[in-house]
Formats: sequence, structure tokens, C-alpha cells
Amino acid sequence: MKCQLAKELLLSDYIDSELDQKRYVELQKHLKSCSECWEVFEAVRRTEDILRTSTDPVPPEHVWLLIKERIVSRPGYVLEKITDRLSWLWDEFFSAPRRLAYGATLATVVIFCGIALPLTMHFLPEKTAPVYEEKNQASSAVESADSLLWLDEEFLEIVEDHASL
Amino acid sequence: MNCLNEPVSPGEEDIVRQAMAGDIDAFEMIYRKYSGMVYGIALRMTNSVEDSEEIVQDVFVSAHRSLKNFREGSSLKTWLYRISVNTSLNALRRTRSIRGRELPMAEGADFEDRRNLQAEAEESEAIEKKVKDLLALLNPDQRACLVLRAKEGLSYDEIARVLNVNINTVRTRLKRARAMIQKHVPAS
Repeated sequence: MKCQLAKELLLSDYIDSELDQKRYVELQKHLKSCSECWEVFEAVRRTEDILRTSTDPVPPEHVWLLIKERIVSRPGYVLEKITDRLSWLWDEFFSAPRRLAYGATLATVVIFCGIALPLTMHFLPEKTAPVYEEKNQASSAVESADSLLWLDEEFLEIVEDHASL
Repeated sequence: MNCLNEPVSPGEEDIVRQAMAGDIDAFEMIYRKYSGMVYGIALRMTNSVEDSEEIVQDVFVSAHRSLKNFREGSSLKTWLYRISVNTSLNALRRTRSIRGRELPMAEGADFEDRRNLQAEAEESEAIEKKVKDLLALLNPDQRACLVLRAKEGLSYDEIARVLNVNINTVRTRLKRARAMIQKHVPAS
């Protein structure tokens, strides 16, 4: 392996463990025999160590307070929160398994109504007939009373005519 | 080492779901967990505490706004990496003061005594200074690649996905970034 290729690989794939096995073995062999490339490798490794060992600092507390303020004061935040909550509730109560359960319940009710109600109606008419009869009798009685009243009015008119004569 | 393919843990999944439903306390829990990572990336990218605090704010406000677009089961960390790096790059491009800030630090960096590097590295402050000095030598794209690789431990493929670039672009940027650093760090 030539030094130029070795240095290129050292700066990327080798140091990042992305090199395939064949190239890795070749480069290892080259590094053992080339002090210049070995120095490059050492220097790269040292800087990588510095980057790796640095710690993640925590942002100051006021940063969160500012974030919260920006979120809450954003126009449309309240409306968005309500719609988000409603959509969450919808998802919670109408999730796929629940939709299935609701569907099964509805189907049971529909089937029950479709079978049980016609059967019930089939056995009811005998009891309801007398009620209809009574109702018919009552209505005919009212009609005859009305006709009597009309006759009375006609009779009074005849009597009044005679009296005037 | 990080693994971007790692799914959201069950506990975290609930927290994300609650945050998606508008629960600000759940969102605060996400902030507490990832703010250090976001702040660290921002600090290394911009080299400025004030800019980094602004970036952390922008990242989490933006994350909160687009949380409803977050696909359940995907990695929250990858998503936040992407927002963090893009927000940092945008901030750097917007300010246009990168060069002005970089050069004095690069020039002022003391790389002469490499023999003392190991001893200095034992102290975290010294390490942070070295990190700043090294990253100040790079352009924003190279810096993003190096931070994600060397600091966050992402693979080439993962970096390519976070930055939305080709894997060979990642390789080239890393190579150039390290070559630039080596050029400014004299051999012992």
C-alpha cells in the first residue's frame, strides 16, 4: 500500500472502523513498516480522543423557562392544545381494538332488533284487538251523539217557525 | 456509542405520546433528557454560549411544533440530531460571522507543545479549549460531520441520514476535516 492511500484511509475509514477486512489488514501491515504514516495515525487518534472525552454541558435553567414561554405564548397554542387533546381522546377511545368491540356490540343490537322485535309483534295482536274494538265503539258513540245534537238543532228551528206563524 | 436505529424505549414512548397530546410536563421530560446533547452539538458547532442557548431554544420550540409529525416507533434521538445540526448550520449561515470568530481562535490556539497535550487533556477545561480550537479550524459542514462522528459516535450511514447527504460526502468531509486539523497541529 502506498503512503498517499494509507493516509487517506487513516483520516477516514480506518479511524472510524469503517474499513473492510482486506484493506484493514493491508493498512496494518503498512503502518508497521512506515513511521511517517504511523505518526499521522497517532496524531489523528490523539485529536479524536480529545473530541471524544469532552463532556456534554447542561444548558442553564433559564433556557427551559424561555422555551416554555415561547411554546405557551405561541398564537393558536390553546386551540392547538384542545384539538390535540381531542385527537388523543379519539385515538384512546376509538383505537382499533375498541372500534372492533364497538362494532361487535352494534351488530349484536341490530341482529337482536331484527329478529326479536318481529317475533314479539307476531305474538302481540290477540291482546291488542279488544283495545281497538273499544276504541271503535267509543268513536261511533261520539258520532251518534253529534247527529242527535244536529237533530235537536233542526227540531228547535221547526218549533220556532211554528211559533212565529 | 450511539445507535440511531435503537427504537424509542417503552417508557419514553409513553412520554412522547403524552407530549404529542400537548402535555407540557411530558415535553419537559424530553427536554431534560436531550438538552445536554443538543447544547453540546450547538456549542461545538457555533463556539458561542449565547448562540448555543438560542439554538437549544429554537430546536425544542421547533420540535414541540412538529412533534405531531414525529412517527411513533422511530428514533427520537435521530430526529433531534437532525433538528440540532440543521438549526446550528442555519444559525451559522445566518450570522455570517463564522470566519470572524474562527480565525482569532485558530491563530491563538497553542498547538506547539504537543508533548504536553496528554497532560492537559486530563483537565476537562483544557479539553474543552482544545476541542474549540480544533473545531474552529473547520467549516460548518465538516464540523457537523466530525462532531457527529467523533463526539456522538454515529456511523457514516447514520451521519448521512441525519445530514441528508450521500455517504461518500460524509467520508470526504471527515477526511478533509482531519487533514485540516493535522495541517494546523505540528508533528512532534
